[in-house]
Amino acid sequence: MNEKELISCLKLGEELAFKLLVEKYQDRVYNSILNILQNADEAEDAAQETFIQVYESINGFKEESSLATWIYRIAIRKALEKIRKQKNRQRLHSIVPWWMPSEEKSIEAAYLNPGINNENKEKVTLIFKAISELPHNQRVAFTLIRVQGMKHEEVSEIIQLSIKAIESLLSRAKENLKNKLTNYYNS
Amino acid sequence: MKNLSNEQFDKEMNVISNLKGVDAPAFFYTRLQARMEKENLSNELANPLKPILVICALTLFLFINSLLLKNHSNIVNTNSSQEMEAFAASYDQTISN
Repeated sequence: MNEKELISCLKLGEELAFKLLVEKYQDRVYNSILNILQNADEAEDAAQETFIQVYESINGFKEESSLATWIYRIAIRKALEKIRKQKNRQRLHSIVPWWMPSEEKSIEAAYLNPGINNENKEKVTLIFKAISELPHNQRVAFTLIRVQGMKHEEVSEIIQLSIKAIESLLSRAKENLKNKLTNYYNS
Repeated sequence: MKNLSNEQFDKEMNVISNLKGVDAPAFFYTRLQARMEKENLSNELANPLKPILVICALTLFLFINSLLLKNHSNIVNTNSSQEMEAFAASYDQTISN
């Protein structure tokens, strides 16, 4: 089934088409979200929300971009929503600690990733921690390009910014990370 | 404190560049389906004021109301003529129509 057929079947509400779509994109969506959120449970939750949103709004998909780009866009939005909610909970915890339990921020992506050998895990955890402290847009752009190896054009379509803006985000992210890592290594 | 040079930074970043992807958790689709069914059910429960339900409830209410009104007016008519006759009889009178 090609993309056009898949989209038409999805628009007709065919369950089999939805199953095919999930199976085709689940690993990529989960992986992108995990690299941004660095927490397996939150990443699964956001990935599920992504597919629910895809299912609910497929009729509004105008096919101006590829299906993959559209799905990624939703996934990134869901990941950012999770980060925002996390921050709100942390803020609430600092105001009313007795009401809002504290959340241990875990850097799990490093440990879940089979591509990392044991000797690098500590370093990778440190790098992911520094990435998680970047502003949202820098964090997303840096993760998609440097960690996942996406092209600038793809990321520009996903986060709907010009290539120049992406390059600028990437360069600012790089500068911030350099400073953060220097601080970590010197402390 | 010495800042990382660009070369050092790039070398550090090579560790995380193009990492092999992690697969989605097992039974991802099954869990997703279960969640969607659960959310559909809770939406239905949370939204009992669907137009069709409202129309049905209103029709039923009007039907019961009109039935009760009809019965009540019959009872009132029967009761009032019986009462009049009993009242007239107590004074040895009769009611003529």
